[in-house]
Amino acid sequence: MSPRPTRDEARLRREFLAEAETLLEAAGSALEAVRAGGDDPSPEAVNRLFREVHSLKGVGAMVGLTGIAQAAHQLEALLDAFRMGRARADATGGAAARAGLTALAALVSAVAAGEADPQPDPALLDRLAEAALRQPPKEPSGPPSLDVPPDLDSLLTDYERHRLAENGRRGRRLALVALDLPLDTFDDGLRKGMAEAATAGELIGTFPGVPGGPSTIGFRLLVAAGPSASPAEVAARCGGHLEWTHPPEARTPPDRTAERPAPPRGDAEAAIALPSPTRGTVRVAMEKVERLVDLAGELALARGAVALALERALPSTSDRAARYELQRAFGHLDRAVTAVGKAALSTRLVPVDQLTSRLDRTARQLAIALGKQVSFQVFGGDTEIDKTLADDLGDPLLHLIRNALDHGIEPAAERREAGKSPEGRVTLSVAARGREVVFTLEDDGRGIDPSFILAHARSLGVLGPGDADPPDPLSLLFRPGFSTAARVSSVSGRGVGLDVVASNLAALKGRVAVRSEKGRGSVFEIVVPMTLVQLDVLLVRVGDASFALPTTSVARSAEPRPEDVALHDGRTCLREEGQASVPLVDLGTLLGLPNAAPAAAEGAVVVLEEGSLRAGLVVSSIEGTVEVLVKPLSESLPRAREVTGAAEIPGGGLALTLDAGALLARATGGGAFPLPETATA
Amino acid sequence: MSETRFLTFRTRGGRCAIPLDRVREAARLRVLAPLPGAPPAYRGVALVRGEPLGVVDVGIALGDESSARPPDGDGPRMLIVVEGEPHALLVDAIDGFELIPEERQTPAPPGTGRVAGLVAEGDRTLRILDLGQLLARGTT
Repeated sequence: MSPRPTRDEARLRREFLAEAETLLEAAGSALEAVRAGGDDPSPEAVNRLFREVHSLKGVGAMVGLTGIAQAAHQLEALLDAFRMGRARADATGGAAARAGLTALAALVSAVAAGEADPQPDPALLDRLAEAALRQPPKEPSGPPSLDVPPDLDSLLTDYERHRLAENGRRGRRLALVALDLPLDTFDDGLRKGMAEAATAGELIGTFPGVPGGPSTIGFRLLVAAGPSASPAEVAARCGGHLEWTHPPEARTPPDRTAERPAPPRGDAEAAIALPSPTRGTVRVAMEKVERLVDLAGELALARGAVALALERALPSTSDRAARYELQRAFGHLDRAVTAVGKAALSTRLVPVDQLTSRLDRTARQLAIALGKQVSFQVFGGDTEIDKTLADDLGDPLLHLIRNALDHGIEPAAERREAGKSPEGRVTLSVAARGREVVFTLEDDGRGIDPSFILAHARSLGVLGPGDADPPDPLSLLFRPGFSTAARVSSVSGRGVGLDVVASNLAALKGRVAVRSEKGRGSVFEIVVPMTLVQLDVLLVRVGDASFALPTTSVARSAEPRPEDVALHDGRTCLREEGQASVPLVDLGTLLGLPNAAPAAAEGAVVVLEEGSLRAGLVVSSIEGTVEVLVKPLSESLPRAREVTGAAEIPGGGLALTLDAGALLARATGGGAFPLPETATA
Repeated sequence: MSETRFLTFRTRGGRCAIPLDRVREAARLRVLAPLPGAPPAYRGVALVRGEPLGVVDVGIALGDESSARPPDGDGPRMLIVVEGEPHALLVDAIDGFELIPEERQTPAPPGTGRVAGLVAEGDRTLRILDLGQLLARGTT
């Protein structure tokens, strides 16, 4: 493995720069707020600045920028001393903090200009350390006594305790405001109360309170009132009532000492130089993206509702021109809604090399740790997949890579003896295939010997004495309790089985397969759906419950007349082209719903088809085709295996989505269902 | 003295409590889809902030009432979303937060699997639930 900077390191640098830029910008604005306070800076601003610098230290350290991490660490120590009252946060202290932040910005710019690990000026580090040692003047009288309610006292953190004492020392009036909020909207009420508290003074902390009724929830806000608001006013603005104040009388004269001096002007130091911004991208919080996707889903639902209503109303409309106009307008709407849905989903997509570059780096480190010569290559890194999927695929892929390096690739000497190049080869290729993405991990190592796997499975009891050899022995690798690791290594550990990989992938609605040739190597193939999908479904009702069937598996739907139904081989069947060929099954009975009416000939029938399997499901009614956003159900919810997820449907209802393959297997009397797809040769 | 903060609520069988740190949020029950193949206490699936959650009726899980009562019968009922679980508890009403000192809690007698402890309240008893037992797969 070569030591030169790799593609993934360059990518990491780019990600670091984008992140650092955001953090420096936020820190810059927090610093301005700190300095606007002169010798008495706003504790909220100091806290904010402390957090931004702390994050910058973290991201710097993560990509190995020791200089930036060191400077940020020293600045963070100074800011911590400010916020905890251990150092004087006056104009001199503020100037030191500003010098620290300016230096950090310069170091980040140096990284942007291509420097590997720029180091801070030692004089700056000394200045920050000195500023942190400038102790505030001692209070002659010691901390003031504040008769804080005892249950609150036990909940205070060191920081809150310090802010409480500090505000008390300055003679500021303290207020404990109790909020009693309706349970279903309490988060809005709490947010609003906290924002008001921060405007009216300093919000020191938020604590649980006592609710006033069965459908409310209680909170308490500890606030130091600003000079212009009395505790009672603060309580009123927050939407609560006053539970405790200090001093006890609410009619204390306003505190003049708390008034802020004018912010210093004409500072000699230059404004903080930010590295030049990266154009063309914007960082958006994941929750905003998810909100957009949800809204696009709601839009698609509304479109579906309009489509159903039009279908009913249009035939009875006698005005031909209006009918034509409605159809044309709906066509436009339909295309626009589909485009919005796709665009919204695409905002969740990220290039897969965000994931593979991490794997690449780890693979190189692993190879070194194992003392093996391996070239690791990634193809197709620009394939785009869902961000959450990229996060969740890391572990299963890493597991397979680890196995390939540890157990697959032989030591150089063994490879030479086998007539192979001493350097092993591991490649990871990523490719989109329809709505799925395929990861193929290939190694040219020793391969997996099926006879060894069979023998091992028998010795472990994974295959019992009465069990026949499976046609595909390698599928045993994914069975729980199966591990081939003959020894414990620091890399693969005690051979945690591939069953973990298979179950991780099952949770992502994916699957894994393996093929191998002894002496030539192995290929693992992982297939996962590209994203949380918007799915076209046929909505049906069974009694009061709604279910959604993927339209791709619906062959047709019908409302059969009695003569269309016949008995064939003892089963009720639907005649097709004169033949009683399609078995009919009541969906409610099949799913085990209580009170399901098994009236095969009375409801509507949906004919499902997948591969060679075909069956008719009898339902109460067919509601029509809509596009829905499917939310998968957690694996740990007990349920019939046909149920895959839930989706909101037009009209505000909720439908469960059903897996056509599993329904067909049960309906056609397969009885035993195929195990979750884990391995095929 | 050690005391834990609890969320207290009511079912037909009386007052119950779970540790507050296991509660993510509370919401009114709106739409519920019945979940085929689930044990009787599972009333179905509800969406809370877009996430599908299994809804466990506490009254049924504790054996206080049967599943004959409609899930949304007798006026609005509340969901308590359990932190870190794909589950929400269906209850009649929420009382609020309460500190319950350890010395007031009596361990539940053996065989009452889903109840971890009891607290005497006059002539009634508040039950502290064992969420691990209550939500164990397939048992509810």
